Amino acid sequence: MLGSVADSTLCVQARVRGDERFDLDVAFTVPAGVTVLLGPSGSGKSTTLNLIAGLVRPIAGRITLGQELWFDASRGVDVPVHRRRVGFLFQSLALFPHMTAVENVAYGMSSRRPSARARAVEWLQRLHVAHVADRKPRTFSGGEAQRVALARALASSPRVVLLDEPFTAVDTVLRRELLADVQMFVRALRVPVVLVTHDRQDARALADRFVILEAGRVARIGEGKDLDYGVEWNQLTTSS
Amino acid sequence: MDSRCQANRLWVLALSFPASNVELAPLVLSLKVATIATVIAAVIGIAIAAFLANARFFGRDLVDVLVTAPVVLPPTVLGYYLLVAIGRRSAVGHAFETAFGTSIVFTQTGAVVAATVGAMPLVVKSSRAAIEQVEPALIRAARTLGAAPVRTFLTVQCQLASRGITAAVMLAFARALGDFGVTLMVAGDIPGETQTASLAIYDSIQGHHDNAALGLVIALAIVAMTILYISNKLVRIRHVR
Repeated sequence: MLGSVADSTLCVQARVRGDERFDLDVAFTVPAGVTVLLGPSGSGKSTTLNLIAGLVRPIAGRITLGQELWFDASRGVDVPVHRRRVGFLFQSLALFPHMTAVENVAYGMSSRRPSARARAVEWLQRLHVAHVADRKPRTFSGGEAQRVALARALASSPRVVLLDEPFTAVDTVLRRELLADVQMFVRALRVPVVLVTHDRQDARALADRFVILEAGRVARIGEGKDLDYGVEWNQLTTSS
Repeated sequence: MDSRCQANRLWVLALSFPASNVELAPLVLSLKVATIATVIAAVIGIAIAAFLANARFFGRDLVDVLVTAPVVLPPTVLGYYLLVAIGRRSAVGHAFETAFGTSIVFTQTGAVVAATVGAMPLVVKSSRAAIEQVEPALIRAARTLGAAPVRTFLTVQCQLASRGITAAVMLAFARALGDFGVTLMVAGDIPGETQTASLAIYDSIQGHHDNAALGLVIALAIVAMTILYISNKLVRIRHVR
């Protein structure tokens, strides 16, 4: 079923029991396009991604994707992680060390389709890492690992893409190349994308919208073009 | 006779020992019982280990204690519990006898049950430790890629923990091969029927049949050490790959 852009809006309104400092209590919507999630370290950005993916269970609230209910505490609905079809690029990349690049990418593809391997190779080609297709992650360079992880996240036909600081620990040149790749492929998917970053340039390059979190609460929501107005970047890149 | 003379005597006896003196039936039975028990303990034990490693529920520690208890319980106590649980007067024993026309206790089935119960905790404990060492981010990644918990376990956790699980299964086999007390309580010591190698060694020593005992001791030691050697090799090969 093809959904319109409006049908694929992700609505998050959830409370998660946090550590001794604060509970996470957020409410925002993510239409198709890139929404950058900003905030100081410990403000709840990664937890927010985890609750969207279903890796963290909120104690209250409701999460929907278009007309589809993913979580509703009052009705006891909680769609399990593996049925949400979320493309998650983890900060640690989390590539399966015992699988080759192509096996990693094909892992999220439906096994009922016979051409999973061919499609996985296609994704590796698109991200310029076809040469590592039959190699295992321990032999990858940092950039190759980033690209394979990105290919894996996007190849599973995700309905929501979550990128948790995907460009940390890469040099400037590679960062620029990866940004271009993310811009091209993520936008082509026409699904809600949530990008967590501390970097102003990454945010500027990708953001259609932004959400700023502070101490587990939404402090500000805005359009990407307004990122330079009233955003205290120095505060966003330091610990809370 | 001092200890050095006794040791020399044993060496001479071992080196000049004719293979034909080894009574094969108890050894074959031990291998048969240990193999069946290890397969059962591995299937059930790995499933329990996976469940304990991944599920969060009230009473998890209690389940862990119950599963591990056979390691710390004296064999006689464990044997007594098994006799109560699967003896002819128990519901399980009665049902088994009705279905198969034979009892569990004092049969080879009893020997398998005894060896399985003794080996299971080793599979559960060591496999669980190996499974829990798999990086949680990899499990989360598999789940977000659409893998249900069972597929995640089989394709990620089980694969990455395979060295630890293999070692656990081998340890369980060694334990099952050498079981004595529980087997004696549950299966008895019936020559040609339930007399395993360990029991035959004990009987031979009691009856002053040193040659028969020594033959089984050497054979059992060679079998056990060969299995451990092969398993170590397998684990190493898998690791290198």
